[in-house]
Amino acid sequence: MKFFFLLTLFISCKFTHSPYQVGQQKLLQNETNLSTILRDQALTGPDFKIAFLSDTHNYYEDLRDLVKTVNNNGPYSFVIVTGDLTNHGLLEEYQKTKELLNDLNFPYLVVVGNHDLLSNGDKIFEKMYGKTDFNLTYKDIEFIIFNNNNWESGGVIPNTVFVAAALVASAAPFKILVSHVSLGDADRFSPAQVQSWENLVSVHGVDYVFNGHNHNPEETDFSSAKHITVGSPNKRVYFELIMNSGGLTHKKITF
Amino acid sequence: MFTTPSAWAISYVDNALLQFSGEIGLISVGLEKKMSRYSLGGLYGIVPSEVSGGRVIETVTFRQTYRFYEWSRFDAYCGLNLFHILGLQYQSTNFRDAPQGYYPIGNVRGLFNLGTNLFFKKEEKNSFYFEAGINDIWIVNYLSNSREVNPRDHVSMGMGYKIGF
Repeated sequence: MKFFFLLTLFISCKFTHSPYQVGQQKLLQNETNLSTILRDQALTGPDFKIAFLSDTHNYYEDLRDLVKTVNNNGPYSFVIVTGDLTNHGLLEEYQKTKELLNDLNFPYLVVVGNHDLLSNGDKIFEKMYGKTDFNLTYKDIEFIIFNNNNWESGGVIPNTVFVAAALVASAAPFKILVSHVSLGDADRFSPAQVQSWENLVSVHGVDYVFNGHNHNPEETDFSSAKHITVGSPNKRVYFELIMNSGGLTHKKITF
Repeated sequence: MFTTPSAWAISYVDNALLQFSGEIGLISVGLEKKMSRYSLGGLYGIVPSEVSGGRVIETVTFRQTYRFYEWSRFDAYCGLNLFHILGLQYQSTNFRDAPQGYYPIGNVRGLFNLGTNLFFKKEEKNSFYFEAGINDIWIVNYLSNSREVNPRDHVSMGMGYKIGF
């Protein structure tokens, strides 16, 4: 009897060969959600809102509350999560965060964060969300989303050629850069690198620069653009980007 | 004085282990020494890239168990596996170009487990063992998110065979 009790207990558990494994499932969720966003944009009027969340890490209870708040405050055309979905870049962390974000009533796009790249996190992100650098033209706004976690990525990151080319190619009246780390991060980027980002922002008339990384929300300026640090769910905050007849504005929402 | 290498080995080692899964590798091999109810051991485990879905994962584990109950043909034990993944890719304290210590994340994980050894006959030295464990990350996540994290979702199972000397 005791033997069968123990056997049942063990059989009900799963086999995990290593917490650091990547997994086999290829979801490419950013690509799927991009298609959904583009397909549904015709259904949205000229006034719309986009929500920005960030640095969910292992703040699972706060993230649950945040998802409920975003759903209640909608509708949003889509949601952008500006990175750090995990602490250690582990598959189970990615899966737990995805389980919570999937409760959003709106499609969402994910920016890669520095913690997401730890261990085998880069491979997991690639399979779960797809490319780290991409752009999206949504109505009058060009969103350029890119990886600028220079210490954790290896290679030449951020890919300034991609960002500059996307800005040059865009005919959209409004332009927004979205990354995980602030473009003005003095620890990670040299004064010359920060200066070149400032030049790029002013030359191309970028309207907003959104990032995460620092968990405290902040609203400042970066060159000629408005600079928003989104803040983490445990700070009980997220941001809205609002498009209406008055143009493009933003709002900090606390919950 | 030991007369043969095997006699020398047997005085230090009581069991050889072959384990499947349990967070320390797809397959792990190791040795164990019994000291009354305590056992201490070391294992080397590997997850090939085809199974991990990415890079090869090599794990070294310091295994410790305590038998808290014994029946005639099986026992129950609790244990702690301290394991480390080999390779710079897995060392958060020294990750790529990040400054040393930028990530205050330990390079050793702890897996707390409960298990049982099953013997086919009384006085049998060889046994099958089954164990279920949860690692330190999900214990911490549970303690800080008890409303949202169910520890049962993060329990993993390992099973193996012990050859007694």
